[in-house]
Amino acid sequence: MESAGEKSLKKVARLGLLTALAMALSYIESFIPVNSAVPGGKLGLANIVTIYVLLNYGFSYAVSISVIRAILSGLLFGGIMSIPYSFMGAVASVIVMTLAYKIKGIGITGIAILGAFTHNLAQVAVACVIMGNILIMNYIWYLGIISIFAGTFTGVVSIFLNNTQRK
Amino acid sequence: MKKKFFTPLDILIAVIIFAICLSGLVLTFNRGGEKIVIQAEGKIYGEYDLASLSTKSKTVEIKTKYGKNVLEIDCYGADMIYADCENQIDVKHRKITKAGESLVCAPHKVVVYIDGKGGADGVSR
Repeated sequence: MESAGEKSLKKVARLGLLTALAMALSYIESFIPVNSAVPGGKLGLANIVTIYVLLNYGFSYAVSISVIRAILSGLLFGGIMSIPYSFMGAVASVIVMTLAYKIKGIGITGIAILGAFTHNLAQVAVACVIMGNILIMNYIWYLGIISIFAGTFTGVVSIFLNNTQRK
Repeated sequence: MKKKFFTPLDILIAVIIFAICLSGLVLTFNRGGEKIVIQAEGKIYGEYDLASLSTKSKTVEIKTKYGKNVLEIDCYGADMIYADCENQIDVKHRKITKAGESLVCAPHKVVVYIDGKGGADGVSR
């Protein structure tokens, strides 16, 4: 029998590993040349971890993991300037994905697409504020279409994970 | 529990987002531009009327405290050809030619966009 203390220790260790995995994925992502095919576009591999945590551990863990990942990967790979973008993107997308998860009929792919779209929307909004130019908002049309494909990809991977994991 | 890859609602979400974005693209970018505006660190850095530019492109250097960008402009639009930033998103971005389109260099806080409303001719059009 596991005691309650052991159980929560296990949880902490596992969530630490998942945070590390999310950071590794956002680093690996920089080697996948999606960015040169579509400027500013990326797959959002780290979102796979966020969705996994959201489905298995709930909202508060998903938020904390993606916020920690956003700040740490910003410090390590993206530069301090990138932190407001990834921070707001992470928070907004987790909130929307949690709400979407509560709606019956929306599957994981739908959650992932909404998450990817919200992530882009939040980042474009941050860019508007930081650069003081509302015209940047026009990027959302273009990024929104990319987010459908990226979201479908991460959603399908998340379903594979969900269907194959041992309980 | 095994989960399906797509539920009908998922497909609906994808279609709605696609429709909104596509109409947004068509509505915003389907206008002719008037002038190229360069904005750096929130201030106007330079403005160039498209009509006053020739077909031969000229380069404009944009220097901020964050770094340097080089922009190529002609009477058709603007293209970022060099930036000493890390992500190079603005350099990879295709040339902008229509009103509402923009080139953004987030690390340098530089925005280059084409304005459709400005200029005396904007009113009569």
